[in-house]
Amino acid sequence: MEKKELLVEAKNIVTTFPFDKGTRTKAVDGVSFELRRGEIVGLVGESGSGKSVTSMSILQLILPPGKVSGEVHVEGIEGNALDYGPESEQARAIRGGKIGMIFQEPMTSLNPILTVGYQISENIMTHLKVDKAEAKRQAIAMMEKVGIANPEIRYNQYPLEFSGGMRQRIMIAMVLAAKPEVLIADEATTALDVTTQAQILELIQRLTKEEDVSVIIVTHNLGLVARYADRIYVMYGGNIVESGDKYTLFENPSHPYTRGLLAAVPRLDDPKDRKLVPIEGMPPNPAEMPTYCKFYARCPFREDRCKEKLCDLRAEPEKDHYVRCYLTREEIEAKHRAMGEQSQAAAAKQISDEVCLEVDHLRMSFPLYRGMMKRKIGEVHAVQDVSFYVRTGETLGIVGESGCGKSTLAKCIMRALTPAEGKILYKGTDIAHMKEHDLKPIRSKITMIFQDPFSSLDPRQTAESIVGEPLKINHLVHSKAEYDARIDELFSLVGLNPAYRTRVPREFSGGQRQRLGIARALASNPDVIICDEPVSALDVSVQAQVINLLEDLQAKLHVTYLFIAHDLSVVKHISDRVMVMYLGRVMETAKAETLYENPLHPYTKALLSAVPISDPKVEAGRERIKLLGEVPSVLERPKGCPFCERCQYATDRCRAEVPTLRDHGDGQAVACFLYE
Amino acid sequence: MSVQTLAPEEKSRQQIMREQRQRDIRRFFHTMFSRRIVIIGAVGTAFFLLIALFAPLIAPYDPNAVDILNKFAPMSAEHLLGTDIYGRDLFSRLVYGTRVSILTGVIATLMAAIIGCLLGMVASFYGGTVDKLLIAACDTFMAIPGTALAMALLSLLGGGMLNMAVILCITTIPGMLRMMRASSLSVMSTDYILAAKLSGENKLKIMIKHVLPNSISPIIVMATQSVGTSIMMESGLSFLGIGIKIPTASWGSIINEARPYLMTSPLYVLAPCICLALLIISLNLLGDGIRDAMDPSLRGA
Repeated sequence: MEKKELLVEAKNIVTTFPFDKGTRTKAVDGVSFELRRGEIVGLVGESGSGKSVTSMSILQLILPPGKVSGEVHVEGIEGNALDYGPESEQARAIRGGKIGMIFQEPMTSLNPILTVGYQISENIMTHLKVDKAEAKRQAIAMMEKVGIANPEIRYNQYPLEFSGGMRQRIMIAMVLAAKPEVLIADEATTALDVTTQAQILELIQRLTKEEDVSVIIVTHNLGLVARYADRIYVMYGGNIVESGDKYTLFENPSHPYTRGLLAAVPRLDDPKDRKLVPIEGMPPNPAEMPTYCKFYARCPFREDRCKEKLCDLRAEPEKDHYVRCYLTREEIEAKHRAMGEQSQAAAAKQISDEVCLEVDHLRMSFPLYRGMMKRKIGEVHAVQDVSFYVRTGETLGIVGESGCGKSTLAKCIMRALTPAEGKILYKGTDIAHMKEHDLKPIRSKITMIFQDPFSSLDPRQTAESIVGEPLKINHLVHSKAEYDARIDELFSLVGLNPAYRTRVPREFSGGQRQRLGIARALASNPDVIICDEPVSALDVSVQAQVINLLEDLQAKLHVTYLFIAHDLSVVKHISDRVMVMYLGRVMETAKAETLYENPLHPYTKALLSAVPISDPKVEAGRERIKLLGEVPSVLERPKGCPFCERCQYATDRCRAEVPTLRDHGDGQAVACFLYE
Repeated sequence: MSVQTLAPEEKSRQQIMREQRQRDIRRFFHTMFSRRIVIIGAVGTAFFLLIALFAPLIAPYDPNAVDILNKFAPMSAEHLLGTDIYGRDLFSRLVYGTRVSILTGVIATLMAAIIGCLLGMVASFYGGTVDKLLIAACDTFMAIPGTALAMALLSLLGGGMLNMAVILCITTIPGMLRMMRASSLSVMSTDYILAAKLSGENKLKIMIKHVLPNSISPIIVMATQSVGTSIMMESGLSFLGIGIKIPTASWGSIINEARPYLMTSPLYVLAPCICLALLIISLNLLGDGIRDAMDPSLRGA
């Protein structure tokens, strides 16, 4: 492939921020990259890797006291764009004009008090210097292009009237309307549901061709770049550690960090017993950023020479493949072999036949009030007729997009909410409508791990009293010595140093806080632990640590997990069986492998196909199912099958009747008329 | 697991806890005084506090000793700031006036903070009708201008320092209550409160152990700032002649007495005015510093 024209070239960008008394910390430390016409480039890294700061530095969006140095060459602008200063004519022509940017939060990047049409056409008028009528015409054309139905009507609507995915489409329309040559998507789809994410990225990919723009995708998601990018830059600690064509990079990762990431991320096509290999430790603290290799402290292959000086990017044998590591791939391979094959299989766990928790026709609804008198005008059915069971020692994964009722279901089982109808049987006892007083002994047997490791721990309590609270409440220890011993045991169980017991939550990292949360959940010797998105707030390299911990604990303590998450790869990795929910109903349940190999429900198929796999080769061969529309609001639930409006197989019967969950053999059950 | 070294185990747990607390306190003062101007506020406040505390030692004369022959005496070594309309030593009166101002301000605010906190917690704890009633009562009080309310209550209860403090307290409570209610409601919606509930802890204990300590900081900030407001109000009411009973020295009443003589002896009016302004500015600066130091968004590793 001949090289296309260079659009953006960054050379040796260094972005620093002041830090404590005169010292400055480098958020971006000498990043160089290039973008050619028609290309989609991925900038991948964990939080703190400097990927967002890099893209903001190019656009000169870094506010003082932050400082940017280096060179940025943009096609059509003479000389170094950074020399012109952030408020110059040239810089403004680049921002929005030459290079457009879409951010993560579609909620905050649109002005809520102006109509979307006004915002789009204003942008057109600024950059293309056309009159109002022409701008409006172009804006409507653009809205149509990004897949917004009835653009003439929606032109006059406010951002509030659009869903998250639609707002992101509006953002894209707004940015592309100014006819930029480069589009930067900074975690643009992270806040969206998987199926919406796929829709948006496919849209971006299509527009790249139609409008002839080049794209920089900034993300932490390896699968995403494997699917959509052409070339990838991997960042760590403000450096680019590896770059190359996506096929080269995924096939022959050369940097220990890239290798580590690929081993740490669960994949949808993993064999059942694959054990994740986490990257030990935490990303470096910006305050103590080493001057040598940033990955040194976590690198399993480190040598003394790594500590002398930061390695330069050097070329690998493949074309355009560069890596920042002294060790060659052969050396790393040899070292890897010498370290011995670590036990790759997950620890064996036992699943007994005894049903530990059973949910029977559970319904939960919230009343909806309107008007001055707070008249009840209806009900929102968050959970509709859900039944399932979990056996002791088993992990049941519950997946679904936002609004599918998975969290409400968890709250009902935890009895933070009282379900409207149905039974929740814990070891044969119905706890669905039990009084708070009778619930107390059961509360210690069903515990919960929360999503957000920041808001789920009392900031003023010490680690010890957080973990020890359930012990005291349930009178599980009888003396101070016993209490201390149990605390130490719990801390070591979750891999925390017992000496940290006097620290408060803010002195722990995200991963460590989640470990604290797990220790708290384990304190009262529970039988069932409900994990509500336990790893979704963590960085990918830390995710694997927590997933492995949960797996080990299950093998050791024989607990049952209800694992709720939106990330299908993680759910598939950890679960024995998976239940797919949509708008408050169960669509399909199956063993984890069966679900991946032989999904039955059209929704399951679409959901699976929307999840990218971090291997471009596998990605290239996958069938992609396009979904119509977005997840409807629970208020506008279709009369029949909840999925009927988006399903390509939907018949009149689907629109009128609700299919029930039918057994399909081998533990698989599906709620769809196609399989009757 | 992360790469960390074991802390030396020889240190006793109490010792670790103590060091931790000292570190926290140091960090608190560090952020608080990171702006130079806050130091000025703290020094100013401390200055007036010392004057109030040691008033009998500092004041050269009895503030109420009348010497009618020596009225409107100019500044001199004997009378630092001269004398007033009845020949009382102005400096001594100002010194004792500091006492009145600070005492009423602090007492009123303390009472208001305690009562406001309690009622705010009650409102958020019970919710429903109790909450609605309390909020309605708050709104009613807040709808009446503070000064008008205080004047009405004063004429009902009569003047005097204690009554004054009670009345200022009443006008401050609604704000405190609303603040506490909002702050504890937001704490109650966090996951750690849910976690505590789910582990079977009873509701009252949750309120005391988790909600109160996590929602009190805005109240503390509000209290430091409302001391100044109360002092201002006290002076205002005394100026109107319905506050502190004469002959007790109060800055407000001194200003009131001196008002007709603004042209002939300007110091008589200016001195208490300057004192009042300096104290209020100092308190507000200090309050800003405390607010910055307590702002959780500025805290953390």
